[in-house]
Amino acid sequence: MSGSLDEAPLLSIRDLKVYFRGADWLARAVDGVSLKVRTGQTVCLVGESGSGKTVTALSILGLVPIPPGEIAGGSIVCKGRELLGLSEEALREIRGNQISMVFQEPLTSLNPVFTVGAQVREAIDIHRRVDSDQARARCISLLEDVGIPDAAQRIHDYPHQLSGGQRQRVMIAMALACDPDLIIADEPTTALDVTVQAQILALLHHIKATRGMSLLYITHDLGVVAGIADWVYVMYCGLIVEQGEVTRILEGSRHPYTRGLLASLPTLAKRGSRLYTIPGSVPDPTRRPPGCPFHPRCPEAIESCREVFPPMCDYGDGHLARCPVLFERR
Amino acid sequence: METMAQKALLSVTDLKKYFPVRRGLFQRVTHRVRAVDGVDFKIAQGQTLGLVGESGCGKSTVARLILKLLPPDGGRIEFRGRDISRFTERQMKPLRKEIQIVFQDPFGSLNPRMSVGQSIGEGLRRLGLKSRNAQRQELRKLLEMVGISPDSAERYPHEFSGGQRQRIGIARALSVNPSLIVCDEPVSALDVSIQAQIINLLKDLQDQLGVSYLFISHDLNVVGYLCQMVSVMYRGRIMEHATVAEIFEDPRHPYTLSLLDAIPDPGRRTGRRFSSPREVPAKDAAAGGCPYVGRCPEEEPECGQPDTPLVRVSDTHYVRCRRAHRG
Repeated sequence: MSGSLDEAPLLSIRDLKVYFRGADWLARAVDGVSLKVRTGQTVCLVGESGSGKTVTALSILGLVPIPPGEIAGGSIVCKGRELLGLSEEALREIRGNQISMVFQEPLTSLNPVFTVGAQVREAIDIHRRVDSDQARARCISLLEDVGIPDAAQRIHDYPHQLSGGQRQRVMIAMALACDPDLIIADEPTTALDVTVQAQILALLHHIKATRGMSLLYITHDLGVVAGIADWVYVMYCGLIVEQGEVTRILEGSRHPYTRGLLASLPTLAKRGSRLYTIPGSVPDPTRRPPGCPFHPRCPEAIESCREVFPPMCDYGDGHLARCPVLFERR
Repeated sequence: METMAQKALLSVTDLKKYFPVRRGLFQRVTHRVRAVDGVDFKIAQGQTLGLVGESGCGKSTVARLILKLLPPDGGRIEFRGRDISRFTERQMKPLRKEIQIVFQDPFGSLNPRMSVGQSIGEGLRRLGLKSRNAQRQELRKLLEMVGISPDSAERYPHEFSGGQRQRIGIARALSVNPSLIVCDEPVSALDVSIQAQIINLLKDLQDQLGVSYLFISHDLNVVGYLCQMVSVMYRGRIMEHATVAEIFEDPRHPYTLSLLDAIPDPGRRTGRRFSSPREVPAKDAAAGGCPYVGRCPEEEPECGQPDTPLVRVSDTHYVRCRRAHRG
C-alpha cells in the first residue's frame, strides 16, 4: 500500500448524491457517498445489486444519463480539479487520459464491426498526436502488456474471435492507452470463469503496481476483495455503511451487514453447519426504508434504528461503520 | 467409482454428445465439437454430486442429456438401473416427474404470463391431482416449503425478486415429487446475501425429502459446502472424481489444482498469489490425447498420446492423468 494518509488523494468524492426521478417515483441511488482513492492504491467498492456502486462509478466520469438521473449534490475532485459540472468537452479530455473505465461485459462494450486493433488505436488517436506507425506500435505493445499472445497478429481480429478473457484484456489495453492515473473497473471479472478471473485480477494488480496507477474496483465478491484491495468501502442502499483497510474489514468488520455478508459465504470450512443468512432482500431503491436502511434485515436492530439516520462510528485508522446500534454502544 | 454401483440412483457411463459444425454454401458438416466425450459418474440416493468446470466444458450439455432434452450420441444413462438413453418421448413421460431441473436464470425460466400458481400447478395437474381443492392445498404446501407466502399463488413472476423467483423455480421442480433434481448454476445469478438462503433451502429440502442433486457449478466454494462428491470436467471429459474432502485436501489433477488456486476466498488473504498474469492458449489436443495439453504446467511429451489412463487413488478418488499415475 502506498500513498500516505496526509497526502492529497488522487480522487476524492464528497457527499455525492445521485437521484433518479420518474413521474411518481424517486430513487436515491447514491445518497451522500464520500470516498477517497490515493495514488497507487486499490480501492474496492463492494455491494449487492442496487446498492449504488455502479452509479457512483459512472458519475465520476460524467456518464450518468441526465435525465432521468440528476446530480443532487456533492463534489468529485480528481487531481485538484472538480469534475462535477465540467463541460462535455472537458470531460472527454479527462476520460481515458486521467481516468478510464473497464466495464463488466467485454462483448457488449467492444464494437463488433471493428478489429480490436482499430478500437485500441481509437483511444490512442483521440488523446495523443502520433502518426500511424507509432499508433500501431503502441497498440501492439499495449496488447502485449495485457498478455495477449501474438499481438501483432491479433490486432486484425474482431471481438468475436477472442475468448471472454482476451476481450477483457483488450478492454484493459484500451483503458491503458493513454496512461491514466486511475482505472475504474466495474465488475470486470463477473462474466468470466474462475481461472480466467484469477488471471485478470493478476493482470490488473500487475499493471497497477508497475505503472503506479490507482484502481477503483467495483465488485460484489468479497473473495475478490481479499485478493486485490488495499482499502474497502461497503455500500448498501446508496450509503457507505462501512469502510477501512482491507484486513480490518475482512477480519474485524463491525457493521451487521458486512458481518452478515461474510458469514453467509459458503466455504468448505462451514460444511455441516447451517449458513448464516441475511433475511429478506435488498429493498427497491424507490422504497428505501427510513432510518437505517438496513434495519428491516438487521439482527441487531433496535427501536431507534427505524427513525435515526445512522451516524458514523469511528474505530480508528479510518475504519468507520454507519450504524445506530454501534453508535449507542460506544 | 464402481463401489457405489449398487446404490446408484443415476449412473452415467461413457456419455457422448458431439455437435456438428456446418460450414460453407451447402452447410456441410466439417467437423464435430466433442461437447461431452465419454463422461462417467454416479449419484447415490439422497446425495449431491457437484459437476465443476469452466464455461464451455460441457457441464450444461450433460444436464440436458440426463433430462433427455438432447439425444446422446453414445453411452448409457441408467436411472434406477434402467438405461433411459434410448427411451422415446413416450417412454420418458413417466420418468419426467422423477428427474427435474432448476435453471440458473430465475428471470428467464418462469413464464411471465403465468401466475406462480399456474406455473407450479402445471406439474401438479400432470401428476394427476384432479380436484382443484387438492391442487390448491398441495400448492400452498409447496410454497410454504420453499419459504414463499402461500397467499402469493395469484401473483406473477415480475412481482418477485431474483431469490424469490429461484424459490418458485425450486417449488416447481419439487411439485412432481422428483428423486433427482439437476441444479444448473442455481445460485450464480443471485446476490451474495440471497445465495446463502437458497443454498440452505436446497440443503433443508434434501434432509426432508431425501432428494438427490446433480449440482452444476463453477464455484468451488459452494460445491465444497454443499456436495458430497465432485466431478471436475474439462473439455467434455471428467478429469478427476472424488469426495469433497479428497478434492480439497488431496487434489491430483493439475487442472483441479488450478481451479482450487483460483478460488477467491475472503478467509485466505494470501491474495497476491497471482503468478502468471498471462493467458496460456490451449492447443487443440490431438484426438484422444489429454485435453489439458497446452495449459498443463506439468505436461510431458506422452500426454499427447491417446487413452489417458484413469488412475485409482482410492475407492472414491479417480484421476485421469498420466502424471498422477506416477504419483
